[in-house]
Amino acid sequence: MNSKYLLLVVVVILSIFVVHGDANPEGFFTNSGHTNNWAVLVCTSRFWFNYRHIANTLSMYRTVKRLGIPDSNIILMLADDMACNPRNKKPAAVYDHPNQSVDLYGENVEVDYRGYEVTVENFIRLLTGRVSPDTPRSKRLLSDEKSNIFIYMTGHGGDEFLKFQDFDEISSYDIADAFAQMWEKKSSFTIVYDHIRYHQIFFMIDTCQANTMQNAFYSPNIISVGSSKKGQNSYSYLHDNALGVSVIDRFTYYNLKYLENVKPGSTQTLKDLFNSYNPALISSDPEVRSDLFPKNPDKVLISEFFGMEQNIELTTDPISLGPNNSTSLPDFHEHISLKEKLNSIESKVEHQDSKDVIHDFKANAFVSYLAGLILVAVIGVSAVFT
Amino acid sequence: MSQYYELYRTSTLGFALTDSLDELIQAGHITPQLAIRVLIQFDKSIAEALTNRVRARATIKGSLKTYRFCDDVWTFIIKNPSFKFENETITAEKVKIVAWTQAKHQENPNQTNFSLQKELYNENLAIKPLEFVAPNSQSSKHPKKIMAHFEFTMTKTIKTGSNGSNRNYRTFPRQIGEMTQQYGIQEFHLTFSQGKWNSEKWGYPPTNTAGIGAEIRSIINGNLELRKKNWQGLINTLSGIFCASLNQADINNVIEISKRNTSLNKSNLLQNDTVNSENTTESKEFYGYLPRENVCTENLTPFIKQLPCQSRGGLSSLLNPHRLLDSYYYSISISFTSECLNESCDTKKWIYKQSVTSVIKNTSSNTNININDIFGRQLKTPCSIATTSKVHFITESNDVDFDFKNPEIQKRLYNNSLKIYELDLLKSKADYLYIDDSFVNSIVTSPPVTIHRFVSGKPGVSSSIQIVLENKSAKPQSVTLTDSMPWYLHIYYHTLKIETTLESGLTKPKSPKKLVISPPISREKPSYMKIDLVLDPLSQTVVIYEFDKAFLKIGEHPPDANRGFNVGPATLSFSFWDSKDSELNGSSRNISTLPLVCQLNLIFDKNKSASDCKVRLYSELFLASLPTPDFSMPYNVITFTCTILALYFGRIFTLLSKGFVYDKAP
Repeated sequence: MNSKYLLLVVVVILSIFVVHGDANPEGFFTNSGHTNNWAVLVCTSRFWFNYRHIANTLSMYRTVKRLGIPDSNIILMLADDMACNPRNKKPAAVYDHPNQSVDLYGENVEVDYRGYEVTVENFIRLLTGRVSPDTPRSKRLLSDEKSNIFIYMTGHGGDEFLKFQDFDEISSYDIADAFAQMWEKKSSFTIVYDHIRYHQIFFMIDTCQANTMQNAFYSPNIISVGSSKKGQNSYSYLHDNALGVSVIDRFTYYNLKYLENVKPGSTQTLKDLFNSYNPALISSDPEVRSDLFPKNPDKVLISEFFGMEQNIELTTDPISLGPNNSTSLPDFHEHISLKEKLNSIESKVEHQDSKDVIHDFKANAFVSYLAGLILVAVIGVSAVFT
Repeated sequence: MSQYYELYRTSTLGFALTDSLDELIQAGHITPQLAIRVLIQFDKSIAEALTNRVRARATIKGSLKTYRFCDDVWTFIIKNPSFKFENETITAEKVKIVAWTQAKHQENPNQTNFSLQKELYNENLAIKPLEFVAPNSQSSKHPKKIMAHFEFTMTKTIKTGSNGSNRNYRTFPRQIGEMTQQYGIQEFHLTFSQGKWNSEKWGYPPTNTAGIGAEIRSIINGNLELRKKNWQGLINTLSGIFCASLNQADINNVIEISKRNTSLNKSNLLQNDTVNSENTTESKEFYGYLPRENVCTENLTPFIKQLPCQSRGGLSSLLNPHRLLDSYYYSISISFTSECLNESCDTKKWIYKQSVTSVIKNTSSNTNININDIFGRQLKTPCSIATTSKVHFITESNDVDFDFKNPEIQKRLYNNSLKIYELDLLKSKADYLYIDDSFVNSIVTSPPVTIHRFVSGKPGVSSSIQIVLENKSAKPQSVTLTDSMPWYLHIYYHTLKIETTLESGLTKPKSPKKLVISPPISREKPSYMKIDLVLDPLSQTVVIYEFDKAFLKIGEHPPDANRGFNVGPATLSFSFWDSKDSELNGSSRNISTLPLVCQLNLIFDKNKSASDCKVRLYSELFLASLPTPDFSMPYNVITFTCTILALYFGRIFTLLSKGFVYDKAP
C-alpha cells in the first residue's frame, strides 16, 4: 500500500516537472546539500565520579537516535563502563535525571569504542579515516563529501585542550588539523586523501573553558559551540543521592531540554537552539563560532545535523550506459576493474603513510614544545645577562 | 517457506486453479487453509511435471539486455528473441526468463522440508535453584539464587565448492557464516563473563567457559602467516559485531597452542585407520584472554539480533538485560564449530551455539517461582521457527518435587536425587510456567575437584603464585593444568614446585606426567605452561612458582595504570568420564553423577553420548601492581633539562659570538 502511495507521489512530482518544462530539478530536494548524516559522540572521562560525562554522551546518543540517525551512522565512544559498573546501584542502566524516568542505556545500545580504546590517536584516526584495513565497519566514519557530521565531546578540559582518560590530551590544534585533513581533496596518486570527508560539521563541546577549543579551526563549513569561555568552568547540574554522583552537566542539560521538543521534520533552526541558551542558568557563557560556516545559523535546520533526512538528488545530465548491445558489458567491467586497481593502490599508499603522519605529528608537537622552552630560557638568560 | 517457487501460479493454469479455489472458499465448501495446501501441491506438481515429463525442445536466440542473480534465481531479459521449435519459429519484442537451480530439488526428492532440514534452530533453557534460605519453618526453603542457562543452537549444512547454495541464510547468522568462510575459521569460541562462578556452593558451571573477562580461542586453517592475518581479521570482525575491544588480543597477546585433536570419538578411531591418521595430526589453536573486558547491554544487543526470533518470541524474548546483568554471575558465550559430514569433507555442518548464563537473585520471598519473577518478562508467544523450544527445570534433592500446576510438564527422573521437568513450548501454552511450593531441602552437590590461585609475597618485589588443586573424591583424577601470564611478569621456572598433601597429612613432592613450558618473549608473546598431573584421592596439590615484574615503557601503561594489571586465570581441565571404566555407556550410567555441563549436553541434545564429557574450571584472577611511574615526570625532566641546556647554551653562545674588545677611553 505504502509503495503505491509513494509511487503516486513520485508521479505527481514528476508531472510537476513535466508541466514546468524548463524547471531545473537539480537541488529541488537538496536545499541543504547533504545526503547523509553522521554523529560522533565522545566521552573522554574514565572513573565512576565522572558518571555525568557518560550520561551526557548517552543522552545525546538517545536524541540523535530518536531523531532518526541509525546506529550504523553513530560512532559512540565511552571511556568507561558505567552501566555495568559494580558501583552502579541499577545495573545495566544509566540515568540523566534523579527521577530515573528514562533509562539511557536501554535494551538496544551499540558502543563502538569503549574503555581503553578511547584515545586521542583512535579519535583522530576515526575522523581522518586513517584506520587499519582490518577495522570493522562499526569503528569507521564512512562519511563523504555529502555528509553532515555532528560531533559532540565531553570530559575534563582546559585552555585549548581536552583530557582523554587522565592519560593524554587532545589540543584544539589537533582537532583543527584533523578537520583540515577531512577537507583535503584528492588530486593525484601520491596524495593519500581519498575525498572530502564532510559537507558540514556541527561541533559541540561541553567541558571547562570549552570555547577555547574552537579557536584553532580553520577549515570551511564548520559551525561550533562550546559551553564556557576561557577561564570559566562548566558545571554539573543534577545530583542523584542514591547513586552518589552528579548525573548531567548544565550545558548538555539545557541543550537536551530544547532538543526534546524537536520532532523529526521540524523547522527549528540552530539559531533557535543557540538563542535558548541562558548563561544565568547554565552558569557559564556558551559561545557560537560561525565565521567558517557559509550560512547564517537561522537558515540551518536542527534536523540537518540531528536527524537523518535522506535527500534524493536529481540530475539533468543523462548517464549513458553505452550502446544497447552485449559489447558494452566488458567495457563496463574494465572500467570497474581499473577503478578497483586505482583504489587498491591508493589504499596501500594511504596505509603506509598513515602511521608516519601520526608519528610526525607527535614528534612535531614535541619539537615545537622543546623549541619553545629553549626560546623562553634563552630570553630569560639573555635578560639576566644584560 | 515452501521449497518450490510460486512462479507457475501466474500461468493460465494457475490462474484458473486460483479462481476455482476462490469460488469454493466463498461457497463455503473448503477452508482457506485447504486452498493453500492445494496451491502448494500445485507448485510442487507443476515443477515436477515440467522437469520430468516435458520432452519438447526449443532454441532461443536474441540479445541479452539485462540479467541478474538474486537468492538463487536468475532473471534474464532478452530483446528480440526468436524461439525455434522443431518446426516453427516465434519472435517477440522482449522476453523475460526466470530460472533457478533445479539441482537443489533433485538432491533430496523425498524430503518434504528440505530447506528446513538444511538449517535447524533449537532453543533450550535450563533453570536450577542454587542457594536456599529458610523463610520461617525449617522444612520449607526457597531459593535465594537461581541459575538460568539459555542455549540457542543453529546448524547449517553446506557444500564446499558450490558457493551459490551457501549464500542462502535462513536462521543461521549471515555475518558469522561469511566471516568464517573469509578467514578460514574451523572453530572459534568467544565468552564474556563477569563475576565468579562459585563452584563450592553451586557445583560445576553449566558451560566450560567461565573465566572472568573475555576469552577467545580459535582454530584457523592455513600456514602461519595466513593464520596470523586471519586471526587479526577474526578478532577485529568479532569486536565490530559484539561491540567489544577484542582487537586488544592481537597477535602479540595470544598464545598458539598445538593440541592433539581429541574431538573425534573413539568408535571412529577404531573403525577407520585413515581417518585416524588424518585427524590426529596436530592442529594449532590461538588462545587470547582479556581479563579487563567488561560485559554489558551493548554485548547482549548484537547477540539477541542474531537470533531468529530476536526478542519477539520464544525463549530469546526472556533475555532481559536488566535482570540478567543484575546478578551474581553472568556469562555470554558464542561458539562456532565446523564438522565434516563425510570422508572427503565436501559436505560440512556448521554449528553455531549462543548461550547466556546468569545466576539471578530471587527477589520474591514466597515459595512460588514464576518465569515472570525471574526474568521480569512474560513468555507470550513461542518461536515457531524453532525445531525444539524447551524449558527444563533441574533439581537435586532426595525427598522433594517441584509441584507444577501445568499438566503439560513432563517429569523425567534420573534417580532419586536428580529430577528434571521438561516443558515443550511449541506444544503447550507458554504463559503457564509456574512452580508452586517447590524446593524443600534441595541440595547442590559440592564438586570433587576444585582449583584456586593465590599470590603471595610483598607487592612491588618478586612474588610467588600458588595454585591449589583439591581432589575430594575417593579415586585418583588425572587433570591438565594450564597457566598463561602476560610477558611483563617474568616467571622463574626453576622455582616451580609441585607438592601433594595426602589425607594422612603427609606432604611429598610430586612429579608431573608431562610438563610443557613456553617462556614469554617481551612484547611478542605471553608465557604458557601446561602440566599434566594425577591428583591422588583425598589430597591437596599445590603448584608454586615465583615471578618478577618488569618495567614498562610509559606508553604501555593503560590510562588507569595505578589500578594494576588484571592477570587471566589458570585453568584446570579434566575428562570426567574415565575411559577405563568399561561398563560405562551413556545409557547404563546414571547422569546424576555427571557435572552440570555434561548433564545439560545430554538433556539438550539426546543424541549425544556422555563419553565426551569434559570439564574446564577457572581459577581466580589476580591484580598485578607493576612499578608505575609518575606520569608527569617526563615533562618535569624535559623542562628541567631544557632550562639547564638553555643556561649553558646562553653562556657559551655569548662567549662564542661576542668578541672581547678593549673599550678605549676617549
